[in-house]
Amino acid sequence: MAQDAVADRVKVAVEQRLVESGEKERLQEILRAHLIESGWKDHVKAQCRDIIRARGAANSSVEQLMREVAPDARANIPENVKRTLLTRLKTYLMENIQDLDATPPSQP
Amino acid sequence: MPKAGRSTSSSLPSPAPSWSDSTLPFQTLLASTGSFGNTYVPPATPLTTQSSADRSPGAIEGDSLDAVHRAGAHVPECTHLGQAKPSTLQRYRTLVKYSLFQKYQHRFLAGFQANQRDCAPPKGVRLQKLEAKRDAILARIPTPQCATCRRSFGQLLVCLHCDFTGCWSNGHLRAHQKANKHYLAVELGTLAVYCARCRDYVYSHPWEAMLRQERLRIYHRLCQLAEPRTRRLPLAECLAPETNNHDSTGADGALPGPCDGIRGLRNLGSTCFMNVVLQAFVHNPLLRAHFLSDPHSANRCTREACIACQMDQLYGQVFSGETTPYGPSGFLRAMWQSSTELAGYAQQDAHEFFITALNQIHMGLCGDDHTFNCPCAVHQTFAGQLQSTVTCLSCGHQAVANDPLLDVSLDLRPHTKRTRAEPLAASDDGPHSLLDCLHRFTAAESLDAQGYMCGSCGSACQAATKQLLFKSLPPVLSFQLKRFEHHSSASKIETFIRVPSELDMSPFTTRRAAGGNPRNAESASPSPPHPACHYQLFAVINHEGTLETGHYTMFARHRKQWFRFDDHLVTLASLSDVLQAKA
Ligand SMILES: [Zn+2]
Ligand SMILES: [Zn+2]
Ligand SMILES: [Zn+2]
Ligand SMILES: [Zn+2]
Ligand SMILES: [Zn+2]
Ligand SMILES: [Zn+2]
Ligand SMILES: [Zn+2]
Repeated sequence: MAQDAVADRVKVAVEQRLVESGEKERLQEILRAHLIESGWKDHVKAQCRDIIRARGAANSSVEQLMREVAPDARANIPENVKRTLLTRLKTYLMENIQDLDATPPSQP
Repeated sequence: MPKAGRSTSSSLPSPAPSWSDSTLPFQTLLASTGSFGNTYVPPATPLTTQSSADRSPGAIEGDSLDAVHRAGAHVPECTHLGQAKPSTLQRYRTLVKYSLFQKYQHRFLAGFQANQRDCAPPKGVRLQKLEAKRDAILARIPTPQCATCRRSFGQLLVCLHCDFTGCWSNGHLRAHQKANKHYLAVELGTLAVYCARCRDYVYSHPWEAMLRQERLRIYHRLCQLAEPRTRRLPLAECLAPETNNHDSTGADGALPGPCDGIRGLRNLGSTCFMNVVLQAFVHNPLLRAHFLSDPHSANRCTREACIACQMDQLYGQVFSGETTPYGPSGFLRAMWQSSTELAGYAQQDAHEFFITALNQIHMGLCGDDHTFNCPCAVHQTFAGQLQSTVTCLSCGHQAVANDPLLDVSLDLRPHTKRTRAEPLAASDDGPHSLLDCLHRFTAAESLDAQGYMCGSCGSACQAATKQLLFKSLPPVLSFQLKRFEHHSSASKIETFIRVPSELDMSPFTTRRAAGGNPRNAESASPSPPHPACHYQLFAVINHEGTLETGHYTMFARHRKQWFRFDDHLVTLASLSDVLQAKA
C-alpha cells in the first residue's frame, strides 16, 4: 500500500518534470509525427467515422466513442514507434533521475 | 450538362446553424493539432447533406427521406455556448492564452537564447533583466495537473465555471461536473470546449474566432522571436479581417459571411471548360461535404500530380474567405501531367474534363483501378448502375447485363433507327426536354439484325430489343446533352432542351418498370415520387456560341440562391435564368 503511494508520487513528480522541462511537448511532437506517418491516425479516424456512421451522429457520444476505439487504437500503435519513444524517455530519465531520487516528495 | 442532386432540402433545417454540426467535433478532436496556425478548420458549409453522402449508393429500395432525417439532420446543437456569460468567454480567452503560452514556452525560451547569440538585446536593457522577466513569467505559469489525482499527462480539462482542472482518463473532470453542475470545460491540449449537457465537444463562431485570434497572436510572437529582423505584417492587420467578420455577424454570432464558398475562377487561357466543372464540383453538396470534412491529407499523399490533392486545395481556396478570383493553375498543371488524353485533346470539352477529373480524383483517393462499390467520394457521389436487357423476340429469352455509370449522356438527334414500344409519340425532330431525353434513353430499341446472337435459341435473331433502365441511382446524377457531333463534320445541335428544377427518376428505374411497360405502372399508380428517386437541380453548365468559338458558363445553387459563374465574374441569378439557359 505504502509502496504504491510512493510509486504514485514518483510518477506524478516525473510527469511534472517532463511537462515543465518541455520534454513532454517534444515527445508528443515526435509521437504525433510518427502516428501520422505510419497511417495510424488515419486508421483511427476512419474507425471513428465508421462507428458514427453506423450509429448515427445523434446517438454517438465522445465518451462512448473513446471507450470503443481506445483499446484497438492502443494495440495498433506500431512497435517501432513505441520503441523510439521509450528509448528517448529512458535517456531523459537517466539524465535527470539523480536529483529526483535525492529529493523524494516531502508532502505526506 | 445539367446536374441534379437528390432532393433533401425540404426536410433539412436552414443552413445557418451548421456550426455545431456534430460531425465536426470528432474531426477536430482527431485532427493534428501540432502545427498551430494550420489547425484552423474553415467553417463548414451546411454539412447537412452528409447523411445522404453516407448512404451506400444505389439504394433505391427501402430507403426514405425519414432515414435521412434521423441520420444527421436533427442533431441537437449546443445552445449552452451561446447562452454563456461574457465572463465565461473571457475566461476561455485567458485559458487559451495560458495553454498556448504553456505549450510554447520552451520555444519562446529557445528563440530567446538563439537570439542572444546573434543579436544584442534592445538598448538600455540588461540581459539579466530580460532573463529575470522571463523567469518570472515562467514561474507564474503553473504546470497543469488534475486536482484529484495530480496527473499532468493525458487529456486535462479546465472547468469554465470554476478553477478546477481534471483529467479525462480517470473521470475526475466528469465527476466534478456532475457534483457541481458545471458543464463547460476546455481541453488544454486542443483548446476544444466540452459541454457536459451535450456530452460532446461544441463549437460556436465567436469562440472559434477568438481562438483563432489568440493563435495568430502567439504565432506572430514566436516568429518575431525566432527571426526578429524579418519584416512582416503588423499583427493588427493579420487580425483585422477576422475582427470585422466577427463584428458584422456579432448579433446572431453564428452566421458565416454571405460570400463564403463563392469565388470566381480566373481564366488561365481558354480554361473556361475547366472552371465551369470546378465550380460544379465546389457546389456539389456531397463532394463538398466530403472534402471539407474528410480532407484527402496532402501531407500523407505521395502521388505525383495528384488531383485529389488539388481538389483539397480548391475547396480550401474557395472557403478561405478570400473573394478575389482564384487561378486554379495547380489543377490545370496536374491534369496535364496526369492525363495524356487531355493533353492531346485540343477541343477542351467540359464533359471530357469532367470525366477525366472524376477518374483522376478517384485515383488520388483510392490509388487503384477498381471502381465497383468503391468507397471514394467520387463513386459514392456519382456511381450508379444501368441495367441493359436484351429481349429476343423469337423465343422471349432475356439477357441482362449491368453497367456502371458515372454520368448519363443523352442523345439529342432526331431518331434515325426504328424503335419498338416507343413510350412517347415522339416527334421526329428530336427531344425538347430532359424528360423526353430520358424517355428515349430508357425506351426499348430494336437491334440490328446481325448485331445480336440469341444465347437461348441459338439463332441469329431477326428481331430483338434492347432496353436500358436505371438499376441503382447515384446520389448525384449528372447528365450530358450531346450537343456536339463529331461524325463527318463537327457541328452543334442548338435545340433548346427544357430542364426541370426537380426531377423524378422513378419511371426510369428497373423497380418502376418491373413487370411490364413503365407506362402501365405509371398510369396504374400515380403515387408521389419516391424520395430516393427525387432530384433537385443544383448546377447547369452551358456552352454558348459555336463549336469553335464557344464559351462555357455555369449556374450553381448556393444556399438556396442561384449564381452565374463566368470565369472570374460571379453574378446573382434567378431560377428562371437557369431554366431558360440552353444547357
Ligand atoms: Zn451544450
Ligand atoms: Zn485525475
Ligand atoms: Zn467547476
Ligand atoms: Zn493526393
Ligand atoms: Zn472511386
Ligand atoms: Zn477504389
Ligand atoms: Zn432467341
